[in-house]
Amino acid sequence: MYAVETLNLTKIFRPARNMFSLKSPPVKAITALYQLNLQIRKGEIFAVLGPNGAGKTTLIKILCSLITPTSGTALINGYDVIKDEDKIKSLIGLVIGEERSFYWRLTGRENLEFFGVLHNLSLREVRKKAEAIMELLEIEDPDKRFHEYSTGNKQKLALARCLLSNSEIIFMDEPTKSLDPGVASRLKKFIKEVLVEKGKKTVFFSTHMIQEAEELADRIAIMDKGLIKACGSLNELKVNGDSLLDLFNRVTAKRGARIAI
Amino acid sequence: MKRDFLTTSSYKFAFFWDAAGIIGTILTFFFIGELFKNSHVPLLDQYGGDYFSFVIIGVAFSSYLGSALGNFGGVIGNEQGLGTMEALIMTPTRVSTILVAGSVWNLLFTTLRVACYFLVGIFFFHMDLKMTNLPAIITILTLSMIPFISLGIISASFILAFKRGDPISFLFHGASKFLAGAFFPLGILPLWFKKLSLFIPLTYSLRALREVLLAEGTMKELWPELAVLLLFSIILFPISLKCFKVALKMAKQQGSFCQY
Repeated sequence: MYAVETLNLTKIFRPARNMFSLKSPPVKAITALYQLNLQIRKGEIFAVLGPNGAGKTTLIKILCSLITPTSGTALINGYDVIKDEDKIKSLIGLVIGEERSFYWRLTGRENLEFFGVLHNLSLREVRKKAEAIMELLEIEDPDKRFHEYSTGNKQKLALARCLLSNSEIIFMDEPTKSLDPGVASRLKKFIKEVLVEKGKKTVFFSTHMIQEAEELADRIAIMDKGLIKACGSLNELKVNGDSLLDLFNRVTAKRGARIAI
Repeated sequence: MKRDFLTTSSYKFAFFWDAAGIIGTILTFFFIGELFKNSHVPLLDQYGGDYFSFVIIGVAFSSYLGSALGNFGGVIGNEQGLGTMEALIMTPTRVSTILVAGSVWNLLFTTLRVACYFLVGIFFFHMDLKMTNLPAIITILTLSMIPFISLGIISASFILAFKRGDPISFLFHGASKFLAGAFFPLGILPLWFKKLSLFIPLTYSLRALREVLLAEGTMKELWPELAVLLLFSIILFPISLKCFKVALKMAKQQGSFCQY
């Protein structure tokens, strides 16, 4: 059984038509994902690499049960993301890179306590766990209001929130976005050494940075316009002697073509 | 609740201006009441003839029930605006639990405001309330809350699905204060307005509360109002749950939990 599996996963967004303008043209449907097939093994670090608008965030949100797919199936540890939503919520964690996903008037610690309780932990447990995680992630001054933190610390808090739930599978949407190189490098080391090697977790992350995918992932899927254009380990992707950047440029320049590796 | 208390208390002046607003409202209606204190208003006879007591009950309870109506939509709108909606939905806690828990603080806060209206009215402006029939008051409030909470869930469904332009709050919160007679006896309205007021739960809640608090009405006398409130509850509650389910499905299809 795979940690994450998708079978012909398709998502088509149909934006609402402007009701107040008779002249407005019919709104085009947007195919965010088209017939995606992926299998991610347990304990693997898997990267989805793609330019902006490739469909990476939509894919992660579908796998986290935040968006319903139009057709196809998505499974987490064999559980369907639509039918078994309650079960998969206890298996997964999502690191949302969005700063707005926290309460800005509360401190870092208060935010973690609040979300920890929603993960069905007692306040005592949450406090103990939050303290340990904040120490592990070296979050400076946990009693500062959220809006006073640096971008790096905000991102660490997003990861800390995810770790509170002790999820087996962690999804990260652009985990090092807006981070300075030093913080980004420490975060990548943490993901690899602490989460995956020690914690035996499965990490599924999206990125548009080639170097990040190369450094961190066991396998990489290159995605563009809702399609998987290439998928494999770094060695498999470099099979023709191309660098990952060459391959990325080549496959994302072609529209609609799939590369089988 | 702790989150909401910490957030509210971080806005230092909000408490002060809220208290000032209550006193301002009371003073306004006190002086309007003084205007026709010595003249006889037949429409107020069944409520003891005192306009000040009549209107404070109307203002306090309509804001209370209005808060029950606006609460759920407020919680959804607030979380969408803050961007925390997805992070909340990602937790194993059910959306309905998040919605109810997120409303508790606001409801307690509104209860405190209602209590302030009455305490200030009684102790400083000699408002005459007959608090003898407590079971009747509790029954009316409970039966009033269910239709308002149901309307609140329908309102939240609109916000979840369409973000803005919620018609429920406009129709039942804004217009119902006028149509249900929060500020004046309904007898003063033209016939067609009176007919419209029959479709608003607040009409029955206020009529029953005023009868109990101002004219010592008994349960037996109140049963027509209580029966209508029960009917509203039976009809609206299942509809509201269905609406919320549909809205949740729509938001998931559109991927719009954090849009506002």
